[in-house]
Amino acid sequence: MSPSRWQYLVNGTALVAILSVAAVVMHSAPDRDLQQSPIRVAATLGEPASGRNIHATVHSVAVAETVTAGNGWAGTTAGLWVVVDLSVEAVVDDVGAALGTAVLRVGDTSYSASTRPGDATVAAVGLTTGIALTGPLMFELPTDVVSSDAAATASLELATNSDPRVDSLLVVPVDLAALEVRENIDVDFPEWGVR
Amino acid sequence: MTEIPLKKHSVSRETTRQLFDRLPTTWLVTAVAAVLLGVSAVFGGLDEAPVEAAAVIEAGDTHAGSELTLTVDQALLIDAFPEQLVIPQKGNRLLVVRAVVENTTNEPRRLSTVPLTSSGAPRPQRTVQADVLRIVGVSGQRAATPPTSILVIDDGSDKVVVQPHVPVELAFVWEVPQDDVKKGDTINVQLLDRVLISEGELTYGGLYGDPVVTASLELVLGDVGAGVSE
Repeated sequence: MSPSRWQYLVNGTALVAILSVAAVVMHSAPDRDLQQSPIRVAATLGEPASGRNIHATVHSVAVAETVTAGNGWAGTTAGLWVVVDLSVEAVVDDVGAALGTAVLRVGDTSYSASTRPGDATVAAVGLTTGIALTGPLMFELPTDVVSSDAAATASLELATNSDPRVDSLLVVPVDLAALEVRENIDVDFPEWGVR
Repeated sequence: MTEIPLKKHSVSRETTRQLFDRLPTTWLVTAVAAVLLGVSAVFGGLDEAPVEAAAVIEAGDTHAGSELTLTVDQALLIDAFPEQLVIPQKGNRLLVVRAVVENTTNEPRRLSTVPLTSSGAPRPQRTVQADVLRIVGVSGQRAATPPTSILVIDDGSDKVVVQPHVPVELAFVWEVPQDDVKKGDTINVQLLDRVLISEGELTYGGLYGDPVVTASLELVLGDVGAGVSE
């Protein structure tokens, strides 16, 4: 027996319904960027903030033409140094917990904390569970960025992995435009404990 | 059950069918290939593909690549950089190419090198290829060898991350046999550009193809003996 006209109609409607549901699911499901995005933890300057495996307090931010680090390093740059003083520790696990992400984001441009000072910076240093390490991060920025419009809404991003996807990312808003450019800053060598 | 009526073929159609069955497969394949080739020829498929020659620049010229702007100005030989622990094998010296590098993208870019094993052979690549500069025509070096280390000239740090729009002066270092490479030799430096294939679909981040040479320049080797790079 050949299928009746009603059966064709029901089959057609069912097919259209399934396709519409699939289209809605496809267009409303979180895309890959959202699925894998870091879990942003809003923090403020001077206040402690905690993520899954990172606990940090950003004490101060300064801008200078030259920096002298605790090990005597005084690298020069064609731009300016943004020096961040912070305390940071791991929370649950210190295996593989380095301060891998220390990024200053100004507008859509990101600058990573310089590893040029060697052991005088806490950038990329291994963290310890429950014991804070206090020290500086140095960022190398072009001179004109500090006075640009985006400088007022810059942010400092910290995470315990060089790849912060699907893990906590502490985000500290920083107003670089409000900071006066100092000639030289002396920073201390990283030390244990919170200053 | 409805009867499916047998189709009635005309006589001429039957004969065509039989002829087609007897046609050798290779003839068919050849014919199809010829048609495809012909169609592509109509749209310019057989034209000579243009090969863009890499620009030849002078020492000190600024070359803007897609991500990095490079100014190579000097090449010299030096015994070692003991403070940076860049010390060549016995019988070798260091060949240093000095360049100012500016990152024109909006994120930091790590410049990687090919470290040598203890026997002096390049260690097998595990991560990103060195893809900024390489030297050609230096005896004792394989063709187009990436540098063994890259140093920031200002402070000698060896993990080079070029920050966006902050030009930095770098030393690209190769190990060369001291008897074969002498002051006054001419070397060829190739500037490379990496090519983004696509944003990864299954993997995260961009996928890059092999670096391509976008410019080359000739440098005459200087020699500073044991030290003092100026």
